[in-house]
Amino acid sequence: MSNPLIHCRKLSVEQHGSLILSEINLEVLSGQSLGIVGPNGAGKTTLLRSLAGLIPHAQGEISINRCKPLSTSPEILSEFLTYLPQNPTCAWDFTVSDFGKLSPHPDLYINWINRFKLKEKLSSKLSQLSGGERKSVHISLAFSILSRPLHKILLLDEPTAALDHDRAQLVAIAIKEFITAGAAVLFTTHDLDLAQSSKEVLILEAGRVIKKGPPNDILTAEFIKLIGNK
Amino acid sequence: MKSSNKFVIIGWGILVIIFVGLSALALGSAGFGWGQDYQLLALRMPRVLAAIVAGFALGVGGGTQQGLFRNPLADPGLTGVFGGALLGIALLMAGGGTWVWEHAWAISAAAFAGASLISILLVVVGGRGSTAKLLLTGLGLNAFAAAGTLIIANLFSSSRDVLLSGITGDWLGLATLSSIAWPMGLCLGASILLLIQGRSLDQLSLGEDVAQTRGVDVISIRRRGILFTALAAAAATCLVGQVAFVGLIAPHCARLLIGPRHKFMLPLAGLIGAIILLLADTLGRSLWPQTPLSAAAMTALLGAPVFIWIASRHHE
Repeated sequence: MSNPLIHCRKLSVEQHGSLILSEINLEVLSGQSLGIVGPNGAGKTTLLRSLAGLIPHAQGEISINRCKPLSTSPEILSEFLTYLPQNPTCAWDFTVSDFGKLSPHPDLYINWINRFKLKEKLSSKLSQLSGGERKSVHISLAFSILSRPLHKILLLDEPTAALDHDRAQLVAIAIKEFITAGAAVLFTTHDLDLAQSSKEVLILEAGRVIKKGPPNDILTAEFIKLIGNK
Repeated sequence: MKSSNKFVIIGWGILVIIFVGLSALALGSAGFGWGQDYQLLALRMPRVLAAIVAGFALGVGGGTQQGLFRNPLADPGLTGVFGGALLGIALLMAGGGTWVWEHAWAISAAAFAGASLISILLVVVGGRGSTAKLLLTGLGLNAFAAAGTLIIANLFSSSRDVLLSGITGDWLGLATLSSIAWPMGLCLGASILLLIQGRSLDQLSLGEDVAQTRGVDVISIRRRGILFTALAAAAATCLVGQVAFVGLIAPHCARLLIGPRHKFMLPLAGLIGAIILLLADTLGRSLWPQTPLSAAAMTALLGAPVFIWIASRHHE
């Protein structure tokens, strides 16, 4: 069995005296995806940020491609990790075309822009796009970071939130393409369709893992009610 | 916009600087010309050089501060960094007496210490909040630093006139080649150090979390940016005194002309800052030769409406 690209053991995070995450154990291998579902405030975003090395006081054992994210330089981490926040923003009003210059692979960015059917918007400014289009531009940037997905890691926080059906489907297809090419993908979602497309789903509530397994086994009516899915 | 077009715009900026610089050397209360044996040219040269270099540093420093705070209203003048630099100079003058005038480097060092202190306080108190919190913190720190400078000016009559003209941004008239050498070197050094942060500032525009996962050491870039901006603003203060709005307007004009990528925006903001300050100084001393208006007053005349326009367009 190959080494997991994403691994954490007894991961706990405490903020302002309350426990946000409590002793989380998970691992994702190359060529696998894991969907994290749970109600608002369950700790999904905190889990992703901890794995990305963005929470310095996270306790427990975290390993990303056999590196400890908190003690590895951001430059090295960025070689195999891409992270998409839930509500990506940009401080300045780039054109869609110029925004791609922030990627190390602008040509890949343009490919993703085409796939999201935003080719006609290349000269538009970000402020002129709808919320879903703007999110698609940020997703294109995040996806374009990884030129060779083998042994790369994608951490995606609610990637289909604010997207229409077609674009949400494209994200699900893209995730499948990445894992087929050997990447490990971990995403949080309230989108049942996306969760169903994952090999495994982990249900988080109040910072604890309630259940983990194949989506068809654990996404029962009871749990769907619990997590308030669309 | 293609990269080649952006280089063309920067090239035009350099040509405008040369044109405005030559005009500023030739223009004065005596009319248009360089005087007998180039006497007027020699007299005006330090002032023109100081305005160009200080304006460049302010444009680059303002653009960097806006990038660091992800905030279009950040400016070393509005966030109290100039006030801190001037307070540093005032404290040195209060303690150093005549020794100060023989050691120009000490004035730059004191200005840097004051600017750095205010910058650190700005980050600690208001750096992670809203635009309003950042600006209100900056206004508070600026008021505190200005009060300190005024108290020192009041207590030590020997340095009163110099400090008061510093508060009103009127030091360009005192420029001599020997007095501007140190701060000009620091301005240029700080500007170069800021210009090479462009890639990190671009990633920072996506937020600290994303920037860090794209390979940017966020804490390190913030420290470097704040330190080098304080150095640029402190050195510019030694040349001009307090001059607000240049660091605010220049990056906005640059973004409109060339887009927000810092690789291109920062050098163009520097050139526009130099043009604004040089024009302000030249117009201020040429239009009213008997009672020349300081560069700071002229930039405020231009900058205040622009500031209000930007503020009215900015949404939290």
